[in-house]
Amino acid sequence: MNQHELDRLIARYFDGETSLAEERRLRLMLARPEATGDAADEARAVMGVFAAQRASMRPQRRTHRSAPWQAAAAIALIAAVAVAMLLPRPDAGSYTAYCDGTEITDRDNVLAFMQADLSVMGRAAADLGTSVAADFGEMSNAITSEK
Amino acid sequence: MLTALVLLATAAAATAQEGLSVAGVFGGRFNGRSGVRETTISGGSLAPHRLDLYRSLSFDSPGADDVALVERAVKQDGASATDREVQLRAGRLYYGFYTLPRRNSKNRYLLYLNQLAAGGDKLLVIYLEGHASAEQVKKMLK
Repeated sequence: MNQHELDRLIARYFDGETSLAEERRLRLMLARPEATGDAADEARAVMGVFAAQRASMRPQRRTHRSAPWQAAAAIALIAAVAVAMLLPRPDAGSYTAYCDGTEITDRDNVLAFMQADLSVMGRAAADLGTSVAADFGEMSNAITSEK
Repeated sequence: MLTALVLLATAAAATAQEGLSVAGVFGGRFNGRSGVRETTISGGSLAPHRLDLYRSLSFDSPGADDVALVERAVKQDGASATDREVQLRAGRLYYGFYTLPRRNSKNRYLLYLNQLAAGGDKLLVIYLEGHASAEQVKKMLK
């Protein structure tokens, strides 16, 4: 730190004679802790160098670099979202009914039609089972009675 | 590409009964008729039942021509069934559960009910396709 240079620039600054380059150089000199004294303090106060001085004294932050695994995780997440958007939804299906000339595509209504049809068929199937059992029962009785 | 896939799926459903006589019964033939309901479901809610396709045609108080048409188609397809459970009433086919020959590695079933043969008023035919067994299909009827 050249004290003589510092004093000279401070004097020129307060005389309004410093060029932009000189002011820049003065700010840098005042930001250094070696720049002490009343004149330097007064110059700092006027030029707002204090914040710059504090900043220059803070330890330099290291640039944050993403770990390779973080980049891979981000790529995997994006790929998973893309695949999920392309794959058909789990409940995707086609539901269509024509009822008395009217097309119905509401899923719940069409499923209700299916359930109704299956119930009708189911009752008939159950009756069939009952009927067959009854027939076998009669046959069994007939055979037994012949003995 | 999505449109192409939808068209392919629709085409697959439409040709599922290819080679079957009931194909002429389904497919919108009776869409404008009062008292008739045709239901088609593919994918979606059928998956838990291991089925890919459900088609049914239900008539309320069908005419004699309708009964004859449907019954003839069912009997023709039923003739090639690998397994069948049928019941006649008053000389008419009343109930039929047919396991049809597999197609494209899928099981196929044809169900038929003519309540008119037993004093009722409903005619119903159901076609099912998928990987479900006959027992699994019968459980759906309960």
